Amino acid sequence: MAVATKSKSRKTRAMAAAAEGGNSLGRDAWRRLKANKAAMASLVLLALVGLMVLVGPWLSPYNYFSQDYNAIWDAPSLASGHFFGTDQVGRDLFVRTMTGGRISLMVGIVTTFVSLIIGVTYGALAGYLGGRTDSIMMRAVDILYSLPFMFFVILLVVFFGRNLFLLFAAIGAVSWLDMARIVRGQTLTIKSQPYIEAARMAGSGTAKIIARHIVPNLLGIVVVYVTLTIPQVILFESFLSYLGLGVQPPATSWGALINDGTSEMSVAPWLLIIPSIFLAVTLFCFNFIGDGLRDALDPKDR
Amino acid sequence: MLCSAVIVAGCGGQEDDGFANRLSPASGANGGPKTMRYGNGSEPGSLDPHKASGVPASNVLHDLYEGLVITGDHAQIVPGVAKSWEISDDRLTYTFHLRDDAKWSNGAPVTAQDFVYSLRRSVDPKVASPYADIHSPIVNAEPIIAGKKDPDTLGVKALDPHTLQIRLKEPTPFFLKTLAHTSSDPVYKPAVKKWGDSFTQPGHAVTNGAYEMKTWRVNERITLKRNPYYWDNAHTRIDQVEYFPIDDPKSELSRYQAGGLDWTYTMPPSEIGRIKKTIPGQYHAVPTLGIAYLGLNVRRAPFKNSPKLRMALSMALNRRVITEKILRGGEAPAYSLIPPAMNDYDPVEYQWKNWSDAKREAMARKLYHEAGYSDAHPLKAEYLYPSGGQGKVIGIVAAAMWRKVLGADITPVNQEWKVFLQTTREGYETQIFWGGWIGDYEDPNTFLSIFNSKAALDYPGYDSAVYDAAQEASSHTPNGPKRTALLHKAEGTLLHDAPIIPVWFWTNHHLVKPYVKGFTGNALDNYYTKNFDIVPAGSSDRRAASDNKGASHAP
Amino acid sequence: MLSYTIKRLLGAIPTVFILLTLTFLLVHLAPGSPLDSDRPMPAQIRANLEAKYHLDEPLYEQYGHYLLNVAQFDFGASFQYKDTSVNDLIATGFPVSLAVGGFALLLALVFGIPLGMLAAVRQNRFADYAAMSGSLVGISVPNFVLGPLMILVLAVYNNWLPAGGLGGWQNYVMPVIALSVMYMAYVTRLMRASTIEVLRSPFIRTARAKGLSEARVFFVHVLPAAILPVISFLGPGAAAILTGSVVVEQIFGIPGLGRFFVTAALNRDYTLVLGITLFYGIIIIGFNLVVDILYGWLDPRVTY
Repeated sequence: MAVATKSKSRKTRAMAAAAEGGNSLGRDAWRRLKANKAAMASLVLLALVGLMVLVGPWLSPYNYFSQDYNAIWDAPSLASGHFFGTDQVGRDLFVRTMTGGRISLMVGIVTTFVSLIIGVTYGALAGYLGGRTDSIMMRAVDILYSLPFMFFVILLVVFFGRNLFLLFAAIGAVSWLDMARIVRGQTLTIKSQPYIEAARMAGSGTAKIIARHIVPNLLGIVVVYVTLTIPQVILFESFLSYLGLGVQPPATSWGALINDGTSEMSVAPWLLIIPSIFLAVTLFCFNFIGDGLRDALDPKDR
Repeated sequence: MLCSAVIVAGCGGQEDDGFANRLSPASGANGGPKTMRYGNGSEPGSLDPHKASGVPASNVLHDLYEGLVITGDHAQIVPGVAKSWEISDDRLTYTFHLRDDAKWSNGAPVTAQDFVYSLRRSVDPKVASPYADIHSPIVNAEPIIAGKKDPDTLGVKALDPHTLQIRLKEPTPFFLKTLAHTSSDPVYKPAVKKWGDSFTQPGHAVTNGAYEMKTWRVNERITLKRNPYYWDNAHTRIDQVEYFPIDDPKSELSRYQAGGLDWTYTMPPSEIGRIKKTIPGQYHAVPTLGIAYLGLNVRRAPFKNSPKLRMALSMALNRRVITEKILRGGEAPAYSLIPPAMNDYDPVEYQWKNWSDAKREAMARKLYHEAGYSDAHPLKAEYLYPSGGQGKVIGIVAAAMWRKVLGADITPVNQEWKVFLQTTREGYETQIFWGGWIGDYEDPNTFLSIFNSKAALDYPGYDSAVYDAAQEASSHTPNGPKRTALLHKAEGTLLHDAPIIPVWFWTNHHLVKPYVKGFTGNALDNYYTKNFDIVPAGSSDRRAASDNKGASHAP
Repeated sequence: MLSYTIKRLLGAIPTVFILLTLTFLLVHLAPGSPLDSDRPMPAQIRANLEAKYHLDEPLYEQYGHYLLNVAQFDFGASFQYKDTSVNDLIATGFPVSLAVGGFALLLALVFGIPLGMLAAVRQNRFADYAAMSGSLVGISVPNFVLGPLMILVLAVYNNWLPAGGLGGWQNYVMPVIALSVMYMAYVTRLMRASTIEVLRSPFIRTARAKGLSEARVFFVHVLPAAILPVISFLGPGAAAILTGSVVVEQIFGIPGLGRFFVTAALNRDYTLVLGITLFYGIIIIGFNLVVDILYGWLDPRVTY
């Protein structure tokens, strides 16, 4: 499966990207991050989730698509080998949670990264340049906000068919809007600070001021917003499947599992609880890593 | 945070409480109006009988308007506004004698002229009723719908205020049954003229059924009150009817359990087993005139000119596993087109219905190989289903069965609902697709006519001269052995050619509180609130009945 | 400030026009027609209906008709709800969403802001971890899970609250909570992060050095600066919460505007989609204007 081979490089890339966000302070920041216990514990736990998602399916005698009509809604049990129980058509939830995690983690990380890059660049530019440029850029965001997104997705599918790249494009297309607004707002307050003035006097160009002076000072808010975006996009992905984009059965994702789980909540609660726990644990990890990163990269502490 | 704490605390309590099921009607016991509260699926798009479509709208319309004939406990035709009728010897002229006491909710009499106006309106191309074609047996209906003749030329005539004559183009054995459909209901001409599209709103609407409009709030509820002028008002026991549009079956179930509804539109399939155990006696499975099938697009490869392949796919499906293990709602596996719920008709069935699984699957494999497919050259195709509903799980299960039995490689693919409708209607891209049909009236023709090569619903693109001839002839032959033979010929031809794979016959699921009296399931799943009563536990039937007499005077 | 406001209001006109045009194109380009249903109509009837709704005319003519009506504030008749107009649907749906959303927003702010500040002051201590974990639960339990759970516990197993529908105030409790949880979590987390930033910034150190009381430092200097990101978020956030949530309205059977966002799109109810988009767009633009004005007021250093 392409997903499996990609996800390793995906993780390292995300890490590298996060480190690069703070520009030239890599080693120093890493030292400080290591000192943060919550962040390090989360990093280990997240690596563990990543590992489970990658190798978990091989630990089970089952696969994610085989159905067993004599084992419908079986409760979790070590004896039967269905560690997490089975679903409506007797598929093994353990394997489905693991393979679903691959998709969800990838969607969560890639699209959040995309929204981070676009949102921060766009927002910082609009806020810094101000005036008419800011007006036009922010009115464009208003329009994109208000457009009925469902039609956009439906048309994407019609014109380009269905594939994972489109999924990222569709989610990325909306998730950067919030980021852009918040970054722009923060930039407005930062750009009047004396040190920005000083940098401008010293003859720094726009790009340099944004990259060196504005973005590092936005990190606190950006990191928080990233951790808020990840669960949104992971859950949003299952809605896109409904519109015909994204993961198709029998493949699955955490969002789809949780969605299906709600409708069988009272008959087979594990179908809802187990994928939800995986999602929640992942979010906790991302959150504490995010906080740790923010502290490690904060220019004011340097 | 706050809410999670509440949930944790609440979850601890639920174990002792066991399964909740509140049994108190909205009112009735303590002097208020007796109110029947229905879960009603989705919001009706319209309450104009000539524009409405869908079950939720027709549920409400059954209480608001009364046609010439209505349906009874077993979906049979019983008198409505027409107290009697005669059919001429050539079966072309129907003469209806209307009740003298039939009145509109403003007190005006319901006359034959009202029906003339309403039937003309129903076929008027300017009104563009989605069910206009149901009237095509009437003289000139077809050219009027097509805009070639004036609606005034429709073969409907008021002989006097209480005598209506309808002339048919050809003898049509099921014509009376089409008159029980809501698109044959009368509407009040002065209201339509005065209010236009909004004549259905409370305050504007004038109706001739047992109830009239009280309030209508889109997506919240429709409330009906007693029509004091209804001819049978004295025997109507429920004073007020509320229809709640609740799309999500789980939410509906919660509201039923919490005591906010007396009747549910449906049930989440996964809950049926549990509900049967925890609240016995309230769950009702109603086998209805509906079929779920998988369509095969016979216009193009791989299903064009390959009846063996189509039959192989059909035979490879283990329908009993699907109905018993997956659906679990008491649905009947389908081996024919016409549902067993159809009265007075024995369907033609595949003879392999009762074969052992091994024998059936072996035959499926044999046909698959004869059609030119094998493990080395497996069939590769897509199964298209709309988002939401059962198309998804059936696709997953069917694809697994096809893979296991035949080695075929079928990929389930979903499309958003309207995209799916357009794709299947056009029929260019589809290969295997999800399909279903609910009969409009209680006659085999409502199923057979959809696969006529000229029909709009012929999504598989089925085109058989033998089938068309048998189906058309059957729709003009009086009921009897001759017609049965024609119907069997049509159904048999379709099953043999297999443009569709019948999977199961529809069963509707209702929860009905035990204090609701008078409920009997019927094949059309048609109900009239005027036949129900609410008798709270503890009060004897007799006392409740005397209460009702008192209540029935109140408008 | 006044001239800025006027400029922005004038700028809203082309924005709305572009929004309307793009939406018109999107909805008409999407496959599937409002006339498609599971029971297809005969070709002749379909043609009649297309003529009735002008769907048989070229797109630019349809657009012309539509613009003319909109200029008179008439959004036309709904395709799906044939007996009523888009204006009426919005007029009856919006107040309900506004009530549920307004309370939810209030709840989110009243609890979220103090909680976030508390967490920031007690950074990396118990109160901080408790508040953060709580808000993380709020984010990771989606409202399509939270809603049914609450119904099960509070309405089905215990008859404390009605399971859905509209009626008295009791009907609002669960939807308001379900809707506010996620926003509360957002507000808490944004507030915490920005408070931490502000507490570290030089002007707070200066204020403290000047010997101002801790309370004064907090409410006069920290709060106005720290609340800015929350306000930024609330521009579109408040617009979204006040115009209703599909999921919450669906689960609790509330006749709000939110349900129309999705059902109108699913039904290809062109006029309703356009009407709601326009309505929503105007609210977004309005809120963002308010946000920008608030920004200038709370932080005098801000220039546009």
